[in-house]
Amino acid sequence: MAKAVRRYLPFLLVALALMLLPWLGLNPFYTHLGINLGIYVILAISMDLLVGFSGQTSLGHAAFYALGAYASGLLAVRLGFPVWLSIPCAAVIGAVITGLLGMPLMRVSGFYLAMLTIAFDLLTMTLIDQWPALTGGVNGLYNIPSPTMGNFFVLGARLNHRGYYYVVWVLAALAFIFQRRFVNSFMGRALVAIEGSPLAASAMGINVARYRWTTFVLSGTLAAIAGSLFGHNVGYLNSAAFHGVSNMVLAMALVGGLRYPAGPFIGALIFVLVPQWLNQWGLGDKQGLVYGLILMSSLVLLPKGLASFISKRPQLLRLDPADVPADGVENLERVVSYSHSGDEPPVLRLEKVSIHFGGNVALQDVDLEVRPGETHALIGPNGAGKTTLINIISGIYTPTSGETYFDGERTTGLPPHVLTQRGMVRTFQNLKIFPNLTVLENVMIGAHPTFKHAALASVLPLKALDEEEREAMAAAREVLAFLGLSEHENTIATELPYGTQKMVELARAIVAKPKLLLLDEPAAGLHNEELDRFEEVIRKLQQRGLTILIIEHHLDLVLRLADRVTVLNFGKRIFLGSPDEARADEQVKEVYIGGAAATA
Amino acid sequence: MLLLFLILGITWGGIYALVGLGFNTTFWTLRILNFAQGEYLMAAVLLSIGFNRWVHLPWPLAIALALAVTAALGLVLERVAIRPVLQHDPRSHSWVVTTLGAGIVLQNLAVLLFGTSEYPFPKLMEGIVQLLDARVEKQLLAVFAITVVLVLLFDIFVNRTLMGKAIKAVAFDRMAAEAQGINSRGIVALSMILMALLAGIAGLLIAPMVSAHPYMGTLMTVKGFSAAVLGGLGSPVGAIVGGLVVGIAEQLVGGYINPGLKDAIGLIFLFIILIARPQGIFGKKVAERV
Repeated sequence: MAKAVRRYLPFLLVALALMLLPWLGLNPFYTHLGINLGIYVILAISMDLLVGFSGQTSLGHAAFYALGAYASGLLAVRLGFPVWLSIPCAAVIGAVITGLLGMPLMRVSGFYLAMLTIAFDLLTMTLIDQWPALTGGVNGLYNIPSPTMGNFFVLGARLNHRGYYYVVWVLAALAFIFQRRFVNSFMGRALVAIEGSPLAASAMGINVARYRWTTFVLSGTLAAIAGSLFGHNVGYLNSAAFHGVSNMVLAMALVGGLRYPAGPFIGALIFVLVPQWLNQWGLGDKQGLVYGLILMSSLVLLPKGLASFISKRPQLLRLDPADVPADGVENLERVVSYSHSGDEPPVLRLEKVSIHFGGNVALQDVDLEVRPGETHALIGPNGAGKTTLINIISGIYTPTSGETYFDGERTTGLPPHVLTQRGMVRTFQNLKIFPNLTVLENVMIGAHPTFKHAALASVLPLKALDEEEREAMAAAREVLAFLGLSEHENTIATELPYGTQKMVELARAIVAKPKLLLLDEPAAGLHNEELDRFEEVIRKLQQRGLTILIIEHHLDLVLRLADRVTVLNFGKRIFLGSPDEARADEQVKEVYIGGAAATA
Repeated sequence: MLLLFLILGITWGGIYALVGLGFNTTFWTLRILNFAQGEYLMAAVLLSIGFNRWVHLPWPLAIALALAVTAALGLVLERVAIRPVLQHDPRSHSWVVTTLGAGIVLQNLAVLLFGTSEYPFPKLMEGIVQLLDARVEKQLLAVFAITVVLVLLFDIFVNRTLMGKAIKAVAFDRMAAEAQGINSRGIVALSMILMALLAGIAGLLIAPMVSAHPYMGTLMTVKGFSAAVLGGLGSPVGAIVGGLVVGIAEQLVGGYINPGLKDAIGLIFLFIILIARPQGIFGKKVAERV
């Protein structure tokens, strides 16, 4: 309870201050500023969701803001919708339009979205000006129900500015709660993971395209709601009202501080005040210049934003880890326990897999079979095609010919996240730890496929979701304890030494409860002590029946661990057999030129 | 009419291709796109006008000086808006925001210096020629001819000169290029200059046909980008083909359907190509190394 009070106190105080503002006997002007502030907070939250969490930049938020304003205004003016209906309708229209516009996000992201949104912004403003029959054109749209005009009625009651102030802030508070609940969950972690490395996120079972799209639509919808509130506030719209708004919204989110709960409030407050200050100093006409300078320099001078000075990085967790003890560390029952009868079909089977890059044949007619419970080593000199093969197995590449089967089903050409959801989990040769996530959050990403709820469900107070979160967190904490990483739980993972990060990546893969664990050079770069630790960990996992396919250059290590060995050379399989046979095989020796293999 | 639309389309398409090539040069060397590209186009035009009006330089000199200043602004952009964010995190896309911010600064400085009024710009050639059934301004043909020459020069520079090959080497693998003794920082600077000059010249070519004002660049950024993405980011041939497709489609739609729709064409092409073939017509799919 005390903890909850401490956690929510700052917000309660801010909320109280906001509630009292219109009654402090100040100039009504401050109520107006307060209304603007509330609208800007919604806009900043909308942008933070997009830029801060899914790592996509919109340079055209003014378009969604304007869409919301015009949709709501037109419904009210032309069709006589009451405002309690026109505002939600504007939100729906905003969602539909961003949903369509966001379709290319299924394939691309990053700067493409930035340019797409700029273009859409320009187009929207042109349409507003050039379609006077609908929008009133450059002359504008008049008589929108608004407290300014005195014609804003909610269920028959006329609302003045003070009343409208509360309407705006109730919606801003809802947007805030929505955003925090949305991100303090598997969704928030998945989005920050996508921002850090889309490829690794997809390899952890995250549907990158769908999540990006969902976030974009939510962001656009929030902006449309803000827009409808703006339209009803001023009562009159034309395209000039939206000039420079896109840049302002982006600047608000960045200056306030991405991902921090307080970020949107600080950003919005500054951008409500900036125009006032500029006017005071006689620089009213330099507003655009100031926004430009802020955008140009804020990411260089203040990459974390202002909120970073007053608060710690918020954890993207639904529950407090202190309430989720890591029990059963030693037997690890919850996470890793497999029993194999011995006569099951192979977990993984490749049939005559080939892949060409241009005219370059990287793999040719490779067969591979991994049996349940075995540790299968894939070795071969540099350029033999080992990593290419792992990339085919895990769905990153599609083979030019041949078939892959996993867990008894044909899986050729399936995308990585689907394979991961079916129980195939991998680590990466060059470390793919998610930056901006703590160790605990990173490892919990491994449990992502165990979250069965829809993206939006994360905002609801569902017991079942709490349970999923508890289960994932407990599993993550157990694996971390098992690997001796508990002390690092709350550290940003990329700040750890290399060897420790490799262990975190291994933990993330184990938490996924893989049917098949793919390890791509897991021991590369580890020093001796870490190598011993690694071997010990793998042995314990083997004892629990985990099936492993491992690529590794430490031959002596991998031959000690493996049950069977496949040797690749120049894209072809040249050997399949036990480690002892591999050591004795002439061809294998030749490939390694009597080097490491002979001494092993 | 069709002939006129085609000539207009090809001419404008050439302009988009120039801007698209500008996107390519920085994409090769730094893996970034300059979101202020249109503002560089505008800067070259307004600076020329400024040097002519207020410093009373003759036009050729004013234009040369303006291009030199625009190129210098390209170098400044790399120093203040691109290098710092890439040093902080080479993977980040923060340059989207910083270059955009730089563009807004340029635009607002232009408003402070020139106001929002529109300025005339001298034509290279006056007069009209009759081509079959179309009456075509000589200016248009001159622009087209210059664009063709520029594209050829660009191709020769990139593919036939040592410096151009160095750009390609840096594009392929910056570290390996440095190991071969290529001054990659110099190459980056060169690409910024090329970007600025391509945009600047594109601006000077269209200035007589449109009006010169501080906001003339914004749409050009989008259309140049559409051209580059349609053809395939990183592919010079792609930028040219993409530019021509966008340019011609614009004129046809504007002429036969509705002039108001003209500026939407770039967005529509961008939207469709990103859904259907994100790597563009001539682009190759690049597999991320893992």
